[in-house]
Amino acid sequence: MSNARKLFDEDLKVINVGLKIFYEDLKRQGVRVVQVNYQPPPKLEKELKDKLSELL
Amino acid sequence: MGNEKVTGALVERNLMRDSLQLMKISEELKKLDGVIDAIVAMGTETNKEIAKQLGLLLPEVEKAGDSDLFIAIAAKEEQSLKKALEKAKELLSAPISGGEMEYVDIESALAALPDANLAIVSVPGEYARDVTMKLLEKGIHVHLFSDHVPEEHEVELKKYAFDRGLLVLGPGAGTSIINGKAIAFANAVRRGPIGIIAAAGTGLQEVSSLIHNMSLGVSHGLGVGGGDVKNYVGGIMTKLALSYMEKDPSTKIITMVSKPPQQETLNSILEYAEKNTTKRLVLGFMGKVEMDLPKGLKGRTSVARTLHATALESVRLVSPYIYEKVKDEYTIPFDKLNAMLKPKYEKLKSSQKYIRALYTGGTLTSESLMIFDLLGIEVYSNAPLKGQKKLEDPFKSVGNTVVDLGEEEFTAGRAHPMIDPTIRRLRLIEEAKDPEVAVILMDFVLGYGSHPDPAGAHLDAIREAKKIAEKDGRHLVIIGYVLGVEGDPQGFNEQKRKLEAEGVMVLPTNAISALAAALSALRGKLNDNRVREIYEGYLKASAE
Amino acid sequence: MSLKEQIEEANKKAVERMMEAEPYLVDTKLAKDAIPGFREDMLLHAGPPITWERASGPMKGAIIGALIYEGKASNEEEAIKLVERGEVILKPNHEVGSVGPMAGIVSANMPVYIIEDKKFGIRAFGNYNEGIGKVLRYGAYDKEVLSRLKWMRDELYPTMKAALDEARKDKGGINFKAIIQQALHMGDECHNRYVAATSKFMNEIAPYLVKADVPKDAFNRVWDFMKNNNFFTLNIGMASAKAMTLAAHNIKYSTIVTVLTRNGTDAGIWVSGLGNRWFTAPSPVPKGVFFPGFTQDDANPDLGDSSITETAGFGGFAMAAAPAVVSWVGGSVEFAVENTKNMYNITYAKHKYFTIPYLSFQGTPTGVDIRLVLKTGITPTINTGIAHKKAGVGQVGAGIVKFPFELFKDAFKAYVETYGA
Repeated sequence: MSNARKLFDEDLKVINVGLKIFYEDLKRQGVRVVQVNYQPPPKLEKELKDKLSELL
Repeated sequence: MGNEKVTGALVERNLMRDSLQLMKISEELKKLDGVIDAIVAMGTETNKEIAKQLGLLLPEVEKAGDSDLFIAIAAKEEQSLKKALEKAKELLSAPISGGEMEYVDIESALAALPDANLAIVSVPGEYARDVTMKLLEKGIHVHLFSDHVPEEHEVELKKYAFDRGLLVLGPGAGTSIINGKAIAFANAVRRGPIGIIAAAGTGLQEVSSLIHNMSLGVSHGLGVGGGDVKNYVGGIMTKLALSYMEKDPSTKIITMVSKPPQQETLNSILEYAEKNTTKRLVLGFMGKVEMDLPKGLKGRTSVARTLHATALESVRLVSPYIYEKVKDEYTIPFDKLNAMLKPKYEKLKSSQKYIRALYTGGTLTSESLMIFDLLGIEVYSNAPLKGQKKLEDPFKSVGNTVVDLGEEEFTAGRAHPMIDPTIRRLRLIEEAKDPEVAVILMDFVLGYGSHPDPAGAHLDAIREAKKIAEKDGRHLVIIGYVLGVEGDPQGFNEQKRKLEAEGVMVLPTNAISALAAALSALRGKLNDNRVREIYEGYLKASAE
Repeated sequence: MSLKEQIEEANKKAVERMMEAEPYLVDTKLAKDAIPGFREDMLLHAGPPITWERASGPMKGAIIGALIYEGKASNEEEAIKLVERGEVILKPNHEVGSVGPMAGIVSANMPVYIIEDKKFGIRAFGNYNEGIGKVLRYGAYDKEVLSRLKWMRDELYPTMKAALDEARKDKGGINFKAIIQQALHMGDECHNRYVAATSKFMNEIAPYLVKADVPKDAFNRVWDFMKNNNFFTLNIGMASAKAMTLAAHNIKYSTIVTVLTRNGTDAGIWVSGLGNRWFTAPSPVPKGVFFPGFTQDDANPDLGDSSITETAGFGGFAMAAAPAVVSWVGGSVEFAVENTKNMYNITYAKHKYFTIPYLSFQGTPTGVDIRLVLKTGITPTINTGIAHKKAGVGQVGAGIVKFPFELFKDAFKAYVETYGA
């Protein structure tokens, strides 16, 4: 079944992925929030990527 | 005189601290007013030698043992010395704070916040799908701020989410309001009975702010992203949002705000609303939309064509009493509006005829363009509506021009104009130099995420613009629309006051501001029928 | 067997050997006598191969200092001429099985520790730690530095030798793996925090110093030297890690990293299945906290062989065991824990013997696998001392550094070429 978490009228608990300004603004409003500094996955050339999935 | 010096020392018995920490504390103390020198160190021979070299080998320091910590300070006078010694004790007992933890990936963030129920994602568009899917798989709703998300990804995410009752708000969604909290660019709007579903960020901002300023409030504002009402998505999240609002006990009426949905999607949404909602609806599609209201929606649906009307109608449905009290304040009657602007436009030279509207909000730009269109005014824009002319060079105004400064050509490699006023300030001055310009219109969008003082940031440019015009014997009519509420970080009243102090006419809604700009440029001579149509058909909603 | 299966088998073997190795400190000798292949005109250094022209300030300073110490030059100009004429052979420590922190310069007449792995019989070497402040490994070479180096050779070395001879007779030497194991349970991570390890070592060596009947004043000076320098055993720990990683090295098909190192200009790695082949990239400048008067602008790119500790599954990978290290390198206690957790994403196994109390005695992240680095984009993250970019100024701070991704990408490309498929 669905594991959708309750949102409306529950305490907001937020994961912010990306721009830090949103994390800071939520903190200002007293919202419980954690910051994730997103790192894109490494850009690999196609052959390398294919080889990797073969060997991993 | 200058060479006076007092010294003092303290010894903390058996207090151990790492040398690095102590060095940092010494540095902090040296920065204090009146402190000449400071040493905070363990009582080893080496450190006592250093203290001696600094002239701080006081008797207490000399007596300190290897495992004792000493603080020795030289200051200009007693008061500073005392303060410094106190500060030293404070710093020694403070825990080492390395700042708040920031995580490198979602898994570790989830471990730290296992019952997270919402995520805001603002990663580059090509990566949005993977990040969002990871969160959806855990049952977490996502406000997806990222733009340039490939259409296939958007559809995939929304379908996955819809099947599980999960909200994907976006992509490209600038604004949501959930449980009374501003998500991304949003205003500090109080909670109340009006639920808003918006496929237009600034639209959600204006409607929610107006509702607040009219003394009501918003249960939740869900930004479903501009793409949602197009056929490639088919309104997936709009529908889920409708069902959320229907089920939410604190939502009494459901208001929608968006650019006109594509026909197929519109029908699909209306059908869904008919089957899955019972609450009153306000359909705020900007502009005149051909709609075939299903039978089940008749009698409980209002249709509004401006953000102005959407807000007023929402208020009217909840509280006719409040509506009666505020309607004239917001829908300023034409004669009154003319009387307000006349003293200003009278001063214009006859050669001054053009409107230059410099916008930061995309939805506000569209609404403005629509008003000018209805008045039969020929407009150029970088984001023209059907039938209007496209600016050849977005950086150069022609005739009546309405620019959306939030578009790609202005924002590449820069912060959005709601955050960075640089480009608009420069543009404002350019417009002032043009002798044919009569009216300048600008929006000042407040709220979380926006510049900390949009009005203040423009004052110098406004003054310079006026000076340039004055030197040339010209006057400028400057009209400002302040979008926001008093509780916003910038403070609505203060922003309004700052602008009015510079002679800017601040008007209560974007639609009225656009109307006022046209009115001023045409010296009050607008076509009666068109004006009537605007007031009856656009500034007011029609209940079906 | 598919190549993938061969990799799994090889990695399992490599990491198993790394964990089962038992490094003992068994002896000490001058470098020229201890290290096979050592030549009189040689200077060993930290990191991948470097030339004089490309060397950074601290490295150059240490080279000059070593040449003066050896009596090959009487001042800076003479030393520089010597190197420029090509009369000095610069060779990476790793290529002869030794390690040294920061510039890591080892010359013929410097004493080195001899580590012997009782399990697989492999030997590794590490130089002596000079202490903190103005020292050769940060590129300083004034009178004080040189006289200290002299003392280390003339008094510290024979004293240690006498004690280790006794230890060897008694129980084969000092079991340093056991010391690391215990130190990880006492708040050390054994790269930037060695308080407990040095303490335990002094515990162990004390009776042998007594048995060796060294002259009292020599004993006092040596004991004082150890006591005043928490990092006294850093180099022994590093050499122990070297022995452990050597046990995992040269295993056909293995994608496990067996060397992580830097020389102040470049960072470099070895991969078990690719032998002694270097993969290099510009060494990053660490980000951290600086001593009063110094800023990020003063920092030299990362240098030292000390990242051999992370390669062997402790050091910065075990930061969760050493929250106190954050007062040294900056950051929060939570960061220390998170870093360990993050490193599990790129390592092959959890250490059987090195465990972290705070994480319910979970084994440390062990055996960096280049495949996992390529998959996640996460690279080994360690803590480190920061040197001033000018020779001889010394340490200016401490902080965090990540190894560059290209090292692992290049290694993987080479792996694919080598093993085909």
